[in-house]
Amino acid sequence: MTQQQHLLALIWNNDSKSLANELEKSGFDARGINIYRRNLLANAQRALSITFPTISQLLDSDVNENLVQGFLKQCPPNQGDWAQWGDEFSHFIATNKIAHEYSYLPDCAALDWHIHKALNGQDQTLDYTSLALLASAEPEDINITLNNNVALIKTTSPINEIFDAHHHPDQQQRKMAMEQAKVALNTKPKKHTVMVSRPEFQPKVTTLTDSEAEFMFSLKAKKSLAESLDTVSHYDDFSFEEWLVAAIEQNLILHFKENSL
Amino acid sequence: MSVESKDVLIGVGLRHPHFTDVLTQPKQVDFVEVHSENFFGEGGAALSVLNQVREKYPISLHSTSMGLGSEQDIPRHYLDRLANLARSIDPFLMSEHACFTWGQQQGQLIHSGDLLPITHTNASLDRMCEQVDKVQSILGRQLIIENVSAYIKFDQSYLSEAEFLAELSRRTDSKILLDINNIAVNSMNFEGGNIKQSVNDYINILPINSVAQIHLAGCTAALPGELVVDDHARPVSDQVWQGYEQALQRFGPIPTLIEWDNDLPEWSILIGEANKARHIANTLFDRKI
Amino acid sequence: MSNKLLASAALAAVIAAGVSAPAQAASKEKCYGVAAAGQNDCANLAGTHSCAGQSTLDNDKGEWKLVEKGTCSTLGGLSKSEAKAAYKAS
Repeated sequence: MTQQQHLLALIWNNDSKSLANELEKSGFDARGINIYRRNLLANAQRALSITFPTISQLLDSDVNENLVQGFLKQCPPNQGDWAQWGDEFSHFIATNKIAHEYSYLPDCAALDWHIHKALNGQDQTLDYTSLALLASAEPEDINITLNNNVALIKTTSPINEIFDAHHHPDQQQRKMAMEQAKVALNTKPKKHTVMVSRPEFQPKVTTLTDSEAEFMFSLKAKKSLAESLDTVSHYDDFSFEEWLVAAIEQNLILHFKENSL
Repeated sequence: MSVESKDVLIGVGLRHPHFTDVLTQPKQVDFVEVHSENFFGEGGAALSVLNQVREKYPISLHSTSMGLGSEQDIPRHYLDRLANLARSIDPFLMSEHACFTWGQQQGQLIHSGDLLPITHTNASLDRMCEQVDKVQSILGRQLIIENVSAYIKFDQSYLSEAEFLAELSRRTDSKILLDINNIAVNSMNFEGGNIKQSVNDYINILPINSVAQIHLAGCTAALPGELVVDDHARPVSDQVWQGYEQALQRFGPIPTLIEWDNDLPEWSILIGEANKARHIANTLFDRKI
Repeated sequence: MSNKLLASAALAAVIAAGVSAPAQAASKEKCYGVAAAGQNDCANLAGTHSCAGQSTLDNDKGEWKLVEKGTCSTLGGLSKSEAKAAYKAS
C-alpha cells in the first residue's frame, strides 16, 4: 500500500479495535490522525445535514454518528464536492434498521435529495416558440420535455406533509402539517406521487393527483402527447388545458418537440 | 475581470451567511474569494448570487478539492466542472493547496474531503509538477498553490515545504499562496512555536517574485497536550499580523485575503479585519490611508 | 374531444390567459435567501464542530437510541412491518 493509501485507510477505518492497532504500527502521531478523522466525520455530518435537512431534523443527526460513518464507509464521496454526495442516501437508509421503525425515512430522504438537486440544477425556462407545435403538429408527433428540475417520487408516506412540518416558513402551517403527517402515519398508507419542481430559485413540493402523476410519468418516459393523453383519458378529473396552464406557471416544461417521423 | 493597482489589494473570503451583505453593503474590499466547489452546481440561487457579486467585485476562485499532490489522477469530472466555473466567472486568481485528496478504497475512487498532507521529496515534487502542468493547461490559467497546516509529519520528507513550493513554482510557472496562519499552526504544533522565526525561515526560502497572494486567518487555541487545529474560527492573531508584516516586507504589495469559515462573525467584523490588513500594508508602504 | 382538439384548445387557453413562466432572471433579489450553505471548506472542523469534541469515533454506541431527540419521536406512526400489513390489507 502506498503512503497515501495507508493514510486514507487509517482515516476511514471505523473499527476501533483494529484502528488502535494500525495506528500504533503506523508510527504517526495519533493526535494528528484523529484530527483528520474528526474532520472527515464533521464534514460528512455537515454535508448531510445541509443536503438532507428533513432527515437531519427527524433524526437529530448531530448525534447520529453511526449513520454518517456507515454511509461514509458504504458510499464514500468521489466527486470532490460534498454537495454532490448523497445520491445513495435514501437507499442506504432503506437498508438500515432505522427504516423498520420509521418507514417514511427513505422517501423523506429521496425528497430532500431531489429538492437539493433542483436547488443547484440548471436554470431552465420554457421555450415559448415551441408552444406553437400544439397547433401545427399532430399530438402523436409531439413530445413534451419536462424541465430538468422536475422530479417525481412515488411514495406511500406523507412526505410532503413531513417536509412542510419542518420547513414551511409559516409556523402555523408547520404545526398543521405536523398534525396531518401524524394522522396519515397512523392510518392506512396511500400510494401517491409527490413532485419537486423549481418555478424560480426556490424548489416547490406538490402532491399530485393520480391522473396528473400518470400523465407526467408518461411524459417523463418520453411518450408522445397523444399517448400520454390516452393514458389519462379514463379519469374525470384530468384536463389538459388546466394542466398546461399550471405547468407553464410552475415552470414544469422545457419545450415542445416534434418527434422524428 | 482584471485588477490593476499599486496598492495592496485586500479581500475577504465570501461565505453563505454574508451573501446579502456583500450585495447590499457599499463596496469595502478590493476583491472577494469563494471556494470553487461551492459553485459546482449547474445553476440555481448560489450561482446567481456569484454572478451578481462578480459585477461588483473581482473574484478569486479558491479550490479545496483538487488534491494536486494525489497519487491518484484528478478525475476529469472534477476538472470539467472547475473549468466551466472558471470560464463563466473569469476569476482574477485561481488557487489550490499543496496536498492530496483523491485515493481509492476497495478499488473505488474516493475523495477525502480534507487537505491531506504529502511527503516532500523529489518524487512527490515530480508528481505535483505533472498535475499542476496538466491543470494549468486545461484551465489555460496560472495556478497559485498554498502551503497547508499538516497534523502529521513524514519521516520520508527531506525537503521543507517552502523548498518544495519554491521548486514547484519555478518548474511549473505557477505561483505561491502564502498562508501565514498555516505556517503559525505548523510552528506551534511541530517547531516549538516561535512563529516569528518560523515565518522568517519559511519566507526566506521563497523567491521574491514567487508569491502571488497571502492568506490570513485565526484559529482556536489548543487544549493542553493537543495539536492546534486550523479552524478559521477566530480573528487573526497578533503573531500572524506580525508574520504578515514580515511577508510584505519581503514580497512587496501582494493581494491579501482574510479567511474566516467557522463561527463566522458579522460582515462588519470581517471587514474590520480586512481594514486592519490594509492599515498594516499602507503603513508599511507609506501610503496615505 | 380528440387529442388534436384538446391540444389546440389548451394552446388557445394559454394564449387567452396570457400565461407566462416565471423568469429567473427577474428574481435576483430572491436568490440570496434561497442559496444553500456551502459544504466545501479548507478550514478544519475538527476543533469547532459541535459533534467533534465529544466524538470518541468508536463504532460501538447503541444503535439509534439517540433518535429520541429528533422529530421522529413526535411523528410516531406505524413501523415498516405494520405499514406493510396495513397496506396489504387495504
